Amino acid sequence: MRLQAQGVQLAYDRTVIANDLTLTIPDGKVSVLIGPNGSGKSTALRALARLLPPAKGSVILDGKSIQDTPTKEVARLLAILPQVLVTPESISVEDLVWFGRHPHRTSLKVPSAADKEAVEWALSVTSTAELRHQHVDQLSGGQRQRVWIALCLAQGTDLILLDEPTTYLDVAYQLEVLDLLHQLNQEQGKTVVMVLHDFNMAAEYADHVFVMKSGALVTEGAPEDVFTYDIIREVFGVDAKVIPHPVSGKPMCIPLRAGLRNRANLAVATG
Amino acid sequence: MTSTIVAQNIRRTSLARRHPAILMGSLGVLALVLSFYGLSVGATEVSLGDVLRALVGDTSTQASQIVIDFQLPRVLLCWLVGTALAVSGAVMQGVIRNPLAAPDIIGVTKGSGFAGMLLLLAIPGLPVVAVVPAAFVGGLVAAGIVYLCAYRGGASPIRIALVGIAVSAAFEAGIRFLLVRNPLDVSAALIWLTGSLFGRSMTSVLEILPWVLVLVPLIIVWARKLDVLGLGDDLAAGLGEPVERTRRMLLFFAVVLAASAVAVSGTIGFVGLIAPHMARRVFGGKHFASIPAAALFGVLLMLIADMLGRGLAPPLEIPAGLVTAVVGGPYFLYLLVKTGK
Amino acid sequence: MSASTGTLPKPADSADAQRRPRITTNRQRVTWVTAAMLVVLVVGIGWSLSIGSSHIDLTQLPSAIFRARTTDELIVQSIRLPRVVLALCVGAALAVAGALMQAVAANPLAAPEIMGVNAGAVLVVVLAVTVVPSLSGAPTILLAFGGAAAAGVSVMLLAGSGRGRVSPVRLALAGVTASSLLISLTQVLIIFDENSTDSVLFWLVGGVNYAGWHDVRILLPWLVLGLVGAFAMARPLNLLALGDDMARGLGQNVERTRLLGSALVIVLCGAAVSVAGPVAFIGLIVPHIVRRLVGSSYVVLLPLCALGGGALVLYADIVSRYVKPPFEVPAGVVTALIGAPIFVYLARRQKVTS
Repeated sequence: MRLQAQGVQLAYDRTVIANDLTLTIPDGKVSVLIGPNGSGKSTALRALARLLPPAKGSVILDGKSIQDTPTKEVARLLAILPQVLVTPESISVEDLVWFGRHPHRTSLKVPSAADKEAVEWALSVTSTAELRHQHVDQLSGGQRQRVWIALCLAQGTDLILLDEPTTYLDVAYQLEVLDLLHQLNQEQGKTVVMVLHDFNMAAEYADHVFVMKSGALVTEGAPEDVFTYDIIREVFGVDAKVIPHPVSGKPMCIPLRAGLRNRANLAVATG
Repeated sequence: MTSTIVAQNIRRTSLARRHPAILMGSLGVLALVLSFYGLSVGATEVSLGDVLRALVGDTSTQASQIVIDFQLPRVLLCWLVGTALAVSGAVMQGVIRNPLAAPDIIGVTKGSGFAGMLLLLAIPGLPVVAVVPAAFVGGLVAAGIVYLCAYRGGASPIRIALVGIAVSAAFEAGIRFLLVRNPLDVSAALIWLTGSLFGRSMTSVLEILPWVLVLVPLIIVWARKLDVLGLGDDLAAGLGEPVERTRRMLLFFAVVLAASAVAVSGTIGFVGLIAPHMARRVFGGKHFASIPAAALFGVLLMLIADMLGRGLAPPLEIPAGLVTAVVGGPYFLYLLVKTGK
Repeated sequence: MSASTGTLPKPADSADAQRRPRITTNRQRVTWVTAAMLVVLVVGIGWSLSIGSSHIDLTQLPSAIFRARTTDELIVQSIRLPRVVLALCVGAALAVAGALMQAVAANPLAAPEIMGVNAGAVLVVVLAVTVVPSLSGAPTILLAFGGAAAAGVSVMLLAGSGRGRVSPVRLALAGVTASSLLISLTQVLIIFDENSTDSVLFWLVGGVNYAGWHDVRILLPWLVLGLVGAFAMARPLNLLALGDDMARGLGQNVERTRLLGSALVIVLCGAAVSVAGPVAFIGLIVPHIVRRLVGSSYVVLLPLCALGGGALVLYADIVSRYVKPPFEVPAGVVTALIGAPIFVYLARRQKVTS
């Protein structure tokens, strides 16, 4: 396993978010970190992405501590798409995606053939090539998110980390983005790690799920193993009926409102 | 920005962006022409012929001697101070990620002013040029204080801006305190504080020249780093840029450039604010183009301000700092209100 | 697809939390603080009245104030008393204006000097006085209002207030830009006019050392108007602090409240500045300190700001007389020296939400 957090303690200023956290990211799979607000899932992702140095323990990438690896080298192995994205004024799609080549370029070098190839590939795989001259701030939510993903792809890394890539997007765009990530995983073998807020989206798209609460890893595993009545009750504080998705067969968690709880036959919830 | 404004911007800037080199070249030529003309404007009548004679080193006439001794250093200073302030402002705006950031806000201007005033008032009658090293150091120290106060596990652009404003206010209070304790020299002090190129000689030129020659090309080489920083700290780090370190270095360059300009010419306002803004509007947001463009705009602003100051009401000389404030400020406000920003 | 569960993350959670202060008051606390402030004020008044070129005993003060017969008592009545009164009035005006501004702009760093309001008023007044040297009284104040209003509006436009909430940084940067322009222009006028250095400093720094009863008479009506208006707005301001949407939902006319609040700020600042110059930092630090002491309910905050502001200017004026005895130094210098470090501290503390 290439990316792993080993017994890390994560803190902002003096507030400790997570203690003794160990996360091993399975290669070549889509992993999702899930949990309620304040569970530390975004913090954990930032630590994995070298954005937050752990107070204790270390994050290991390809056998080396990520803190001891120069930023530029890490950027060639791992790409992160943060939650808050600052779009520079009037920048074209193509110019934005070109930023993805930054880790591969030194200050004085002109763009190489490899750089151009990577950008073209990123644009075509995300189906944003025909948007290349448009300004990013003119695009729809889903299109814009695909452009940012193209930027990460242009980095040419096998590992892609995304912090809540679908929050605030319309449902259609959420699916657009998640389908793209799924495709990248299946066809290109990219390891995708993302924080998602919607546990049903997680169940649909994830190969491996990390469930977090209050800074600790409650459980991990395949969606079928992880999405159970007990876990959802413990972590999210709601009663949910878990049934197989009528089309995909993945677990579907339906939270029950007050009047329905006694009516539902929760004991028959599928794990 | 609404899409109509964006569309307008595309139309407006596309000419510049398709042929930036040509447009920049034209600006450069304009600056040279203005410089040439500027060499002849002043308290004494100097003909263009005398200017030419001076430039080839022929000091036979008194007029051409005047050009070499007085006008030439001033014009050269316009180039150097204009470049230094404009590039410093461009870097500050890129690092702070706010178009209203200027070299003033990181405390350089007020710190220089305070240190310079301290010296001027401690040793009355001291020639302005002797103040330069103190003012330079004062500016650096003030910026250092700002950075240290803003540092809490890292120095975020927002905190740098806010602390910078506060520290500048503190130094301003110090300046006023000095003024109050030494009321006899108030006018002279205020004039120095306002910024002008009056009475500067080649010594001043040489004091600022090395900084500009070394730092400006360095900053242009690092232009892409500035672009990447503009994407936000997280993404910049994700793209391999050691954010804190790069930001520190860039700020340091900006501070040194600004401090050298202020030390040599006093506090000339708005050049560091307007020039980068104009450059970005015309040449777009990529720093590789907008930084040299900002320098050119800065030079033009300085040349115009200096010429207006000298030529409006001779032999009275209006300090360049006043002209830039009077002209630059309202122009800037008008620009911003117009673009609805 | 099934709807997402759990609570959706509110955008910029911590920013909201900081923006909506807990409106709490503790009756006892308020009483203690008020009493303490009154004591401080009375001590300050006594002190200020007794020091000066001729020391006047405290015991003589009461008779001096009410029945001026000896020369000493005359000094107290015609020179020192107006100075004390003006200090209290100016301090009250600026502090309350600062609190109002922070409420209206929903911005902890909003203050008349940072928003360029003071600088605008000063510029217009200096301009007027330069052009018409005999100008004083009502026309001056009206012009000051104009300058203050113009500056304030420009800063809000610069900061982009048309697009929702303005972050403290944008506001501060816009304010600095506008202020530095206005101050430069003021300096132009000052340098080129043959003013005595004392008046130069007065317009740069602000103080009450030239106070006469006519200054107090000019300021008083506007002060009373401003303070009464502000105190009357206390409850609407409390509602405003909950956020525009919430306030509207509770029946508050948000735009009108903002407009009224801004108008009061202009009245208070314009009047204070035209009479005492740009005394710095009162509007920024007094509301913050009072808030720390008694919470942020404007019903309590505004009157206490008036007291606190008055006390601060009073004591600054006292201290200023020790700066360079026997010469007079404008109180604004002292407030600037005290206020600046506090400003730095406040700036440092600002929560950073990108």
